[in-house]
Amino acid sequence: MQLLSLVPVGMAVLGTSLAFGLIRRWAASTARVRFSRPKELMDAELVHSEKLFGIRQPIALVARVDRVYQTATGQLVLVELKSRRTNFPYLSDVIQLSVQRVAVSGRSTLPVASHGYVLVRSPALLGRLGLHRVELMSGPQVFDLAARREAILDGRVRPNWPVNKNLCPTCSFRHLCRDQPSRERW
Amino acid sequence: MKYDKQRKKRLAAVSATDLAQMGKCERLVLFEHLYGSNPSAARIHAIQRGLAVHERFYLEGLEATNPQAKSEWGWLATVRANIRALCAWLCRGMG
Repeated sequence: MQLLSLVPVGMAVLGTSLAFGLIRRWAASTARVRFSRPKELMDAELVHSEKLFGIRQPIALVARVDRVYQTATGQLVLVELKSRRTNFPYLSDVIQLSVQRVAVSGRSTLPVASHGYVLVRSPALLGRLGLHRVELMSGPQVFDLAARREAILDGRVRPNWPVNKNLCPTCSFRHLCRDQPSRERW
Repeated sequence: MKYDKQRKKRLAAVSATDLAQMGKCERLVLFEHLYGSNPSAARIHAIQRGLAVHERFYLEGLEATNPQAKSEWGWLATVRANIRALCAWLCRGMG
């Protein structure tokens, strides 16, 4: 009987300790985001956050930057946040950062670094972080890509197959891809 | 007429997100242009999750640049963002 009365107490202690542990891990995770800077940016100043930049020439581009840091040398470094399960940067991240670089360069007198950082956060509640340095595309490469997109939309160029075959099963247009490539094409 | 409208809108400005999609699948870019965006439930959920994470990230950046905001009401906004993230996580678990 006495043993049974100890069960709720034990469960309460267990629940409290579990909640405490979760809160601690959550706090640590938040702190990691806050201080998750590469060594290069430890002393850098955060100058822009969630800000829209745009240029009109030679091609109109708009980009919303997640974070822009200014280093001690006066160089601007871009950081892009991604929420996903896989902890590595994709080509699309590099393109996105490159467009941001072109847009920021057009609006800022300060030089923008030719590299940027992709900060990956797992979608899990206590998700882990990954910080990846990526080399960005040059301005002309970005403009060429924009021109290629325009040509694809106008029907002048045939679009390529996806880089990653894992995208196809979850694509909402897969029923339209009649001439789907065989596995050997990748 | 519809095509002209679409073309005018497209020529207005290309966003970084639109161009980044070229790095995933060029065919998807074309299909979305022709038939409109048709995101799956998982994709919609991923977008909402990304927005919540970005909101939290933005608030942390705000706190970093403006310490006064942290000492006054910044903490409240952080708590709100954390609660939203918790709710989204629980909803995902149930769904």
